[in-house]
Amino acid sequence: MSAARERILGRLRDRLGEGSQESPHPSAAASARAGDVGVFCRRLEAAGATVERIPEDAVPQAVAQYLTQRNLAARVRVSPALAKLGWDAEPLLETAFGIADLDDAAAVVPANLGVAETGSLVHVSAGDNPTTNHFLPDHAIAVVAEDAVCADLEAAFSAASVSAMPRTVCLITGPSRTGDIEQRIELGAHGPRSLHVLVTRK
Amino acid sequence: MFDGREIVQFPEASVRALGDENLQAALRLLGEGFQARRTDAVERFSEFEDARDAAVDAKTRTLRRLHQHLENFEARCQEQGGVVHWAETPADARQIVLELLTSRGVRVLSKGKTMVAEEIGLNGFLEKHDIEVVETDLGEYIIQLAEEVPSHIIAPAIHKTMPQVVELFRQHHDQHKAEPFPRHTPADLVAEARAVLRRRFLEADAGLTGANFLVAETGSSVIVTNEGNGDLTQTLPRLHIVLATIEKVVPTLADGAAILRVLARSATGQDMSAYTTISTGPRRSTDIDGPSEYHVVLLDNGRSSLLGTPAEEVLRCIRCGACMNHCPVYGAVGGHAYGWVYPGPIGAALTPALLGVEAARHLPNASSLCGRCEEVCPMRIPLPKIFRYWRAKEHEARLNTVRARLALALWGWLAAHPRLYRLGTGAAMWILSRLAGRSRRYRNLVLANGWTRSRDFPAPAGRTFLNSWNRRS
Ligand code: SF4
Repeated sequence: MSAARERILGRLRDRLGEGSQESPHPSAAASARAGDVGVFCRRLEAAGATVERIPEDAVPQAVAQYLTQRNLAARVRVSPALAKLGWDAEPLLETAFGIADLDDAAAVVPANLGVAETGSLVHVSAGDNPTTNHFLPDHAIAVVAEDAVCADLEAAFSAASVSAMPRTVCLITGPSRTGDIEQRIELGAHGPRSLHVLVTRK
Repeated sequence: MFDGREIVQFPEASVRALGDENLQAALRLLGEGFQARRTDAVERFSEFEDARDAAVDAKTRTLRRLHQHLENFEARCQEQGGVVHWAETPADARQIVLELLTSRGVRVLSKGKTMVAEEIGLNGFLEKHDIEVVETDLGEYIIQLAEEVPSHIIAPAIHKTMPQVVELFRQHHDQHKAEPFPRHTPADLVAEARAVLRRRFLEADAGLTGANFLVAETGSSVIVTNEGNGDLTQTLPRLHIVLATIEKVVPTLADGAAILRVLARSATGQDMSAYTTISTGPRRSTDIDGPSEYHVVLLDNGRSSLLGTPAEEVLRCIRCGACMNHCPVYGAVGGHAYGWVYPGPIGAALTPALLGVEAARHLPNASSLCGRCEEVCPMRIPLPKIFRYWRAKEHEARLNTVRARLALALWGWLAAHPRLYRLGTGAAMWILSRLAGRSRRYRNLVLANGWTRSRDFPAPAGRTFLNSWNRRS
């Protein structure tokens, strides 16, 4: 253990007294309360995202339509976790699975949870859900199941860290933005310029 | 004076700032920008006052047992494969970062926005050791090109106008391009910076970010951003270094949630910033992206010695910037006039603690004690009270001018002799009223020429408040 560590902790102990350990309520104790999907969608829109509510098996079709509407090439990077959504149903849509690179204009990414309180999507990193795909492409299309919408931040945090903390838990609330030039809000700073959310039902 | 960075003194710097037209144009936008957005956000959220109480409570509990939360943080972080480093001083922290980088052969470091890196003067130090630092936050990038320092804790380039940014981009981006970027709107400039910085993220061998808070129960660092640059910085390179000061830890994720409810609303007037990312350890064996190493540098730099003093409440600060956005002094002179890393009211309360009362003695005096900062501070930090504490320290150390000390001594003596005080002030009011003449104002007044140099001094009514009160009853 480093000497700096001992000195810093020593100073704190001197000033605060050893005292008893305060046992904080672990966050995992918060119940995973379900959230209102309507509220969730409204907050998402307020944060600058666009939202569509569709059946689960309509994702490939919705993605193809969205790209057409936006005048984007019919080509997407798809996070491996979504590989089994039946992409063959859209033969004109070119799909690549795996990690996004600089050439990917659009990516389809899963959101593990939604948060009604804030209109946030929760991305939990995993082998089949790389973080890069949420940030590198210009356009993000996120897929979230309506029964994965939690009520508030506490519920989302406890649900996201049930077994152990994954490497990254990211709350995404709208597209990337900046106000660094004359305090004017502009979308698409470094992350996606647009965020389209497909809220799916079974 | 401090780590090679001379602290500019407020009195001279503020005069210069008042005459700087670009700065004044940029500062005029504060009202319709930051202030209006915060007001809207608070009005939209009816539980704001309760949320403030919860956030204050979370941080107060943390500080009461700070050593335990830090030990827990360290243990959890290491269980997850992270490495924790402890630094007492800026020099220690710089050295730790440098060794991490050189031992791994890092040439290019991408950086998310972190005020602690400014506090320790990291960029200049690394560049001296041949490590290229790439600022990726747009505001930080702009001031890196301009070779300046941030003038605001969340909007580092707030002092720059759009034409100034256009000029900077022209100077730095055009040499490699046959056809220059279009630069008609802020959106054009944002797109240009995005295009230029894209590749740099991938070139970097290491990424360095700050932390809005650290979570003891999970051993995680959390960043709250809007651009997405912080996430690219901590995801793409193979080494992620987090630079955080010790008071940033909170016990649980739920305590973090309490802070999140007030942070973005107070800072940018958003209900929630675009990205709130909790990072815990390096990439897992099954992950296909993410850094293979995760290091956290915990810096003290004087924080531990603040606990138990009347200034300890500054340790609750979550660096939202609301106090400076609403401060009439900051609004008039901008951030650079404060001379060091943290401007505005929080700077005036924190800088004397970090640099010493002597170096920073003007800052707590750069306030009219109007109290607007305390009113908007989500963490209910009594900033004016802390300014008064530092002013008292300055007086104790005899650092203020002889004239100021004499005036205070006279005032103190008078205040302790109420009869004389009433007599003296009564007479002064009567005389000043009689001498004022028809205009009822003074263009020039001995002992008050600091005031009359720039505006008239209105003549008093002829009676003191106490006189009037006594007559009334
Ligand atoms: S002192 Fe308060 S208002 Fe100022 S930056 Fe800190 S938390 Fe925000």
